[in-house]
Amino acid sequence: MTKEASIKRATVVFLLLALGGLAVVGRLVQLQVVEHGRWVTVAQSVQEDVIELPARRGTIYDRHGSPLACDVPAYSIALDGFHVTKPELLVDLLVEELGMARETATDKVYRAAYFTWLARGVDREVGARFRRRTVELGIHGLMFFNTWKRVYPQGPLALAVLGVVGVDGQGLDGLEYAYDETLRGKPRRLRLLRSRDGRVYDLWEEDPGCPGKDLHLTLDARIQWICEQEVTQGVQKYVADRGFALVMDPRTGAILALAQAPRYDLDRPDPSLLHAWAVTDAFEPGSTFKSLIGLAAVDLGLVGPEDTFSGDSPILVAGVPIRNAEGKSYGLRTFRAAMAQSINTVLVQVAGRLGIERTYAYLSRMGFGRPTGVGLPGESAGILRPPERWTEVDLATASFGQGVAVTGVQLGAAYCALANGGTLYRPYLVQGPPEARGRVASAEACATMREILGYAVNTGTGNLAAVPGFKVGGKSGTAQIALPGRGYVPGHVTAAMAAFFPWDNPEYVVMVVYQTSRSEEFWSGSTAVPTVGAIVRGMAGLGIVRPYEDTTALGRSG
Amino acid sequence: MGSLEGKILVVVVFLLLAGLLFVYSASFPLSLQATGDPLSFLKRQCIGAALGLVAMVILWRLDYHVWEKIDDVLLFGAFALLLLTLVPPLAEGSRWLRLGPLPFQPSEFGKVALVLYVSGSLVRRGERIRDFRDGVVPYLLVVGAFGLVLLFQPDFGMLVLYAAVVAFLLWAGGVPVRHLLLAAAAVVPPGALLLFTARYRLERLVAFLNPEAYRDTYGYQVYQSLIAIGAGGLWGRGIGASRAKLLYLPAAHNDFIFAVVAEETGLIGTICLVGLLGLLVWLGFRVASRAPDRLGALYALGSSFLLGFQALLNLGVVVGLLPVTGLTLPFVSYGGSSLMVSLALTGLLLGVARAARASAVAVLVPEVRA
Repeated sequence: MTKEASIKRATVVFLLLALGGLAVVGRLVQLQVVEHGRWVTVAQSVQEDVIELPARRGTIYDRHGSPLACDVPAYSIALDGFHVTKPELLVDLLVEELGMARETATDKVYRAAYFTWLARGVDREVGARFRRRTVELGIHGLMFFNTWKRVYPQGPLALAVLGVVGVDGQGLDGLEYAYDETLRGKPRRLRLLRSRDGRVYDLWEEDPGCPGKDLHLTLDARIQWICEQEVTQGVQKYVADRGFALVMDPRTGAILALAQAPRYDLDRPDPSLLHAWAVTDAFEPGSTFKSLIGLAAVDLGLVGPEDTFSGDSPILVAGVPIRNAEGKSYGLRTFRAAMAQSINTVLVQVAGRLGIERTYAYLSRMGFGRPTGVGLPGESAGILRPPERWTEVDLATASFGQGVAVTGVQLGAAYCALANGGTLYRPYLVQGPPEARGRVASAEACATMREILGYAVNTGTGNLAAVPGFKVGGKSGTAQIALPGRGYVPGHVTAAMAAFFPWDNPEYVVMVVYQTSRSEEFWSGSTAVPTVGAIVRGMAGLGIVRPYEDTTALGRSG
Repeated sequence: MGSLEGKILVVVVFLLLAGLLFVYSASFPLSLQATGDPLSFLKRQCIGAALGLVAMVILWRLDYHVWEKIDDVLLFGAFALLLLTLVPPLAEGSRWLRLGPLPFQPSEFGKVALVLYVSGSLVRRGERIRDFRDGVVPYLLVVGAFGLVLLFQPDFGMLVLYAAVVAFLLWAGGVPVRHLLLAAAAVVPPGALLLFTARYRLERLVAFLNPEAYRDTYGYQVYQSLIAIGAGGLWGRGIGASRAKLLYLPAAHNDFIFAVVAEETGLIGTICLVGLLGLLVWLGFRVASRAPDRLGALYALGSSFLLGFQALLNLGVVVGLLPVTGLTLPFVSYGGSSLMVSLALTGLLLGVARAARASAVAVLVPEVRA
């Protein structure tokens, strides 16, 4: 074969090579131009990591501008496992300076990872000392990030309302959870380019973030403090399982204090104590409900303060005997006196005059049976059955607060309506304009009922709540607790006192509730009622309220 | 220099410089991790480049007919060196020999020996190559002997390259088509069998068919390569800015260096590089067509086909058009032996081109006299 023939034959092959080259170029155009965007995204997900550093979380203030929870600068300390030197010294240092358990420290330091959080939210002074000592000892591979730590300038005040914050700066309960988005702000996002074996080759800020917004509460830190002291003492003194105290401004529905015991302890965290049970749990209100049934009857003109009823026990309703507390019979009593003595059988007769439909309508208008919208997570609706499922006996027991279930804030809101002349407000914790939810009764009926309740405190079952000069009115109640599947069990009791002062033009609604599971002799008159008195005295003692008159307005005539 | 030699030199210098630049860039993280010196791979590549340039100049300056006289010795020598890779104390990895300071890959040198021997023997046999026993069988035996050792290493990609270059030279040398088809019929079934018997080759094939589905296992390397190429876009991330080389892409500095080029310089850079390689092959083809004799033509055709075909196989793998074979990209990939052989093949091209120029002058002179 000649040279020319060889070249001719080879030409075919070289043309095929050229075609192959064109195929490669075509493929490059596809990958680098057509699919470019997609591959950039894939590359990012493979080669880059994101670190988020929480922004400064908004401060939570009480109504007077005292901070209840705020962020202070802190360090988060991380370890670059590939550049760490002298790990044994680092373990010692973690144990000494940060109080870490030796096993934890060892585990973290020797972990085969390029990025390990050693400690988060370390106080600045502690972190600075730690850093200084690592430098002195020549330990390398540590990263110090400026971050934030949640602190509580007033101590563990109102934590059941505030909730707490997790290590990543997320709200875990309470208002911290409910208003997380507002408080949290936007975290600072850092992106880092790392090699497959974990070396960091580049680090840049993707989003500077922005600090969270502050929250201004309706709480008054001083009243909150008084309530927490009193209800904590009360739980111990009266051998209660738990208790809460709620103080509201009846003219707006603003919550001034919401305290509960036992209190959440920052050193021994128990998440169950972070639920404000005045919001999350329903209980049978007992006799505190009588004032609301009474209000409905007075509003409709069915009952007047001086109307007389038989206070004998038992009274038969649809063939079922209904008794007074301890089976006592009182003979003929006025409505006023029956409220003061908390006579069940009289209220059964009052409810009989109202009837099922009207009783239900009033209770529903007062906000029972649905959440109040107070703004805390996990709010209960309570239990208010629809009227078609009520029997005469249900109506009779509802008149003294058994067979219905309410939450503390529902009862507080209803008492606010009674106190302010008939307007139901949404109870609220974060400052803003008050929200009226409607009218529940006439101003006159409310005034009448308040006068009766003022009388009840001065002369009746509520008398340990009386504080001279402060014109406290209110109604106590002791209710048995029905346990699931067991009905009412002796020794399981809710003791409540719902009060307001001054009764003629109330500025405060104060409510205290205790629950016990282990006390045979547990009466509101000797538990919740004196705690209300103590709270009012405490408020007076701190100068938050001044006496409204020098002597008691109502004679001890009853 | 307007001559072919000048053009070839310019193209090769560009390829060589680009190769050194991207070996440095692509090997930086691995080099740092493996030796603590980010320049260590580049330094070794420079030694390969220097030795390769010396070889290139020798091949350029010597009369290429010299090789025809010793090509059987060279072939035998190359085969002997290849056999040594099967001797454990001498072998490094499975493909390299430890001779002196630098590891040395005999199968790379076998390529040159093969081009020289097949071209030379075809010329020597003259018309006898029309006979199947003389034109096909000896070459099948040579490829088979080399192939057995290569399969032991294993280096299937190199075997494919050997087979292709021999087949091409037989075709260009004038072996009848039906003989070649007969040989192909004999070679392809065992080849296919080999493909499906070795587990790793089957895995590579499966991964090639669907790299995304096997992106964490067999297809990992190709998938990382596609990420790098795709992320490069039109203009690239900038020289030195590849991320795939941060140990995500295995063999980023040798077999898959093109992916790093693509990521750092984008479509612009890849088209330039593919263009340079194509230009070199085209220049080689023109050298062949101007060669003073059939031997020179076959040398030039064999060299340029070898460079072009190997480049194409490598690029096809890197862009995901072919299953993984493990061949380097001539001039660019890290590897002293590979670089030296690419430069030596260029030297052979230059030698033929130089002779072509001389004979053209010789042809021209009588005309002037006339």
